[in-house]
Amino acid sequence: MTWVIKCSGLSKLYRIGRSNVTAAEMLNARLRNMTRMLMSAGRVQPKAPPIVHSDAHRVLDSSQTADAPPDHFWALKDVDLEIAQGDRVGIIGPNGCGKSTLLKLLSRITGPTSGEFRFRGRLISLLEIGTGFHGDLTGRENIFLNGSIMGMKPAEIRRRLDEIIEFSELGEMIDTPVKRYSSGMYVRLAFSVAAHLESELLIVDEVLAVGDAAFQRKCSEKMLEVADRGRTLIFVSHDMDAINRICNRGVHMAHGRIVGDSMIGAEAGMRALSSVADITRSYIRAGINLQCEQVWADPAESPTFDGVIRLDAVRIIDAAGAVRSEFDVKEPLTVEIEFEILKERYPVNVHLHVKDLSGHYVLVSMDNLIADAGAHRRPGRYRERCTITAPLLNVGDYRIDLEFWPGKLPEHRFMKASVLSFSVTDDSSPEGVRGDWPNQWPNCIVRPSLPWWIEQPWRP
Amino acid sequence: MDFAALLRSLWEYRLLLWVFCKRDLKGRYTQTVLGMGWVLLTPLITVGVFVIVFGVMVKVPTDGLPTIMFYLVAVIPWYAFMNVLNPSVQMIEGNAGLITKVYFPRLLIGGSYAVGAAVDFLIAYVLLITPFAIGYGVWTIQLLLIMPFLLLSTLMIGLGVGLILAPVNARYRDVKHFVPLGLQLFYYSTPAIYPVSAVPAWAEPWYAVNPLSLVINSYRAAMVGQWPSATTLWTLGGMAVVCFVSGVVVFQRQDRQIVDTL
Repeated sequence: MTWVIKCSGLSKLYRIGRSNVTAAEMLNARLRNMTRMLMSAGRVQPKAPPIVHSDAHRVLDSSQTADAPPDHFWALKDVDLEIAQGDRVGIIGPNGCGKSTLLKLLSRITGPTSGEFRFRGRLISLLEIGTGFHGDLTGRENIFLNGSIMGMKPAEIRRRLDEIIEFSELGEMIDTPVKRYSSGMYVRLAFSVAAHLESELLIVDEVLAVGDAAFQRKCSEKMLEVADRGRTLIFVSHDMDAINRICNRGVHMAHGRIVGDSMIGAEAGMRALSSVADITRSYIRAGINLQCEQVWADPAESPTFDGVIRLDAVRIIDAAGAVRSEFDVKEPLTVEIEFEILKERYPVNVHLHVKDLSGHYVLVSMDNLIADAGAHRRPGRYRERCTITAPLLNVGDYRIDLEFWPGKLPEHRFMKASVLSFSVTDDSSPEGVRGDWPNQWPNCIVRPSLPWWIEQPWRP
Repeated sequence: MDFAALLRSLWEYRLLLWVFCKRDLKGRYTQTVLGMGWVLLTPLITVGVFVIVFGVMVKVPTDGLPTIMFYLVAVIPWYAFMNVLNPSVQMIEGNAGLITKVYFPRLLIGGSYAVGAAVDFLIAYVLLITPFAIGYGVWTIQLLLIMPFLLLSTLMIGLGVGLILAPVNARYRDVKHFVPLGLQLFYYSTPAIYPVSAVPAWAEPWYAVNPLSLVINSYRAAMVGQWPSATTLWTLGGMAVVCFVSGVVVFQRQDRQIVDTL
C-alpha cells in the first residue's frame, strides 16, 4: 500500500479557559488574596468550597486531562492514521472529539504538540468556503484571490475560469464587487471555486452543509467525481448519508482518539466494524442502549392519554416469545403492545412507525385493517401484536414510535416516541436474500426478498 | 527551522504574493474619488504643512536645501517605513480569518506589505521627489543611485521589526496600541522636521545609529552631491540584514503555534 498521509502519535494540547488576563485583573486577584489572608489571620481557615466543574469538563473525558498540565487538555492524543492513495476517508464523531483539530493539523494551519505527520503530493484543505474573499473585489477577481489562497496556480484558475463562473450560475454579476451580492450568490461563488480545486489530496470540513438542496447535490457529485479520479479525500461531516455515499473508509473519533476505523476493522476481521456503514452506525449507536421492553407496573406511572388509553407494556419478542433486541436479517420480530381502555369514548387505532437511528423513516404499520372500523373501543385490557416479517429490514439499528389514533383527526393522536429499539444484524450465512453474495450487503434501508425471473434462451 | 523548505514553499506560493498585493492595493483605493492620487496627496499635504509651519513660521534651518526638498526626502521614506511596519505588526490579528482556515507561508503577508510600501514609495519618488529636485536644481546622480539601497534597507528594517512584533501582538494586543506611540517618539528622535546639524553633541551617537536618520540624511546629502559614508552604508546595511533575518527567524519559530493564540 502506498500511503499519502501518515500520522504517528499526533497529539495536540490546548488550554482550558481564558488565555490572557489583563494586568488589572491580575492585580485585583492578588489584592483579594492578600486581604483575605489579612482578614483571616488568627482565625480558623474556613473550608474551601467544593470545586464545581464547568460544562467544559463534561465535554472532556478524564483521559484527556489525565497526563496534561493543569488547565490544559489533549484535543488530540496519539492519533495514528495511514491513508492510502485513492482513499475517501470520512471522519465522524461528536462535537469536540478532535475532528477539526485533526484537520487543522493535517492542513498545516497549526502544528502538533507532539508526534508527526507526513504527506505526499499537493494537499489542499477546504475548511471554509470563500476564505479571503474581499468585498471590494469583483466576483472574477475573488475567484483568483480565493483560488490562489487555496493553492491553485493562476494558470489553472484561468483554464477553469469559465467552468467556475458557469458552475456558480452568476452570469453578468461576476464583474460586480462581491459586497453587492446576496448571501446566496456569495455562497455559490465560494462553492464554485472550492468545487474546482485540483489536488491529489483534498481535505474537506463540513462545507457541504450550506447552500440549497440542488447546489448541495451538485457539490457532492463533484466530490465523488474527484474521488473517482484516484485522488485522496478526507471528509469530515455530521451528515452520515453523505459519509456513506462518498467515503470508502470510515474513521470514528471520540475524546481526541480514533475509536473505530473500518479499514483496521476489516483487516482484523471484526465484522461489526469493517465498512463505512458499520462505522457510522457504531457512531450513532454510541451511548444509546437498545430498549426491547418497557413495562409500567404501577398504573399511576404508566403513560395515560386523555384519561382513556393507558399504556401498560411494550416489548419486542422473537418467534419463540422471548424478549430480545438483536435479530438476524432472516428472523421475523414481533412488537407487542399491552394497553387498557378506561372509558368507551372513541375508536382507537394503533400505529407503529419504524425509523432507523439516524432518523430515516422506514415504514408505518396500522391495525386499521383488522380493527373494528369506526366502532368505539370497549373498555378493558388489550394486547396487540404486529410482526415485522423477514426478510424486510436491512442491517441497522431501529427505533419504534407508537401512536394511538382516536378517530381520524390528526390533532387527536397520542404519540409516544422511541418506545422501543432494536438492531438487525447479518451473519453473512448464504440463506435469505443474500444468496451466495459474499460481500457486505449495500447500505440500503430495506432488504426484502423480491421475485426474479431468469429466462434463457430468450428471443423476443 | 528548515530554511530550504521555507524558501521552497515561498517560491511555490510566489504568485500569492502578487495576489495579496493586488488585493491590498485595490482594497485601499476602492470607493475613493482620487484613487491612487492619495499616494501622492498624503505626503504632499504633510510636506505642505511642514513647509508652512516649520519653514515659513518657525524657520527651521534646512542646511541650505530648498525647504520643500528638505521635507520631501524625509516624509516619503518615513511613510514607506510606516506603511510596512504598521500593517505587519497587525498581520496575524488582521488576517485571522485567513490564517485559521488555510495554510500558506504567512511570511507572504508581510512581504506583500513591503511590496505595497515600495510601490507607493516609487510612485512618490518618481512623481514628487524627482520632478521637484529637477525643478529646484538639486537633482544629482547620487539621489538616483542610492535610492534602491536606502529603500531596501528601510523596508527590511520595517518588515523585520514588524515580523518580530506580529506574533507578540497576536498574543498581547497591547502591542498594537503601543506601536503608534513608539513610532511617534521615534519620529521626533529622527531628523525629519529638523536638520541633524541642530542636534546637541550629546545626542549625536543616537543619530549615527538611528536607521531612519541615516536614510534621511543620505538623501539630503545626495542632493548636494555627496555619497553616503562607508560607515553609514555598513551601519544601515548591517541593521537591515540583522533586523530582517531575526524577524524572519522569530516569525518562523512562532509560525506553527501562533494560530492557537488567536
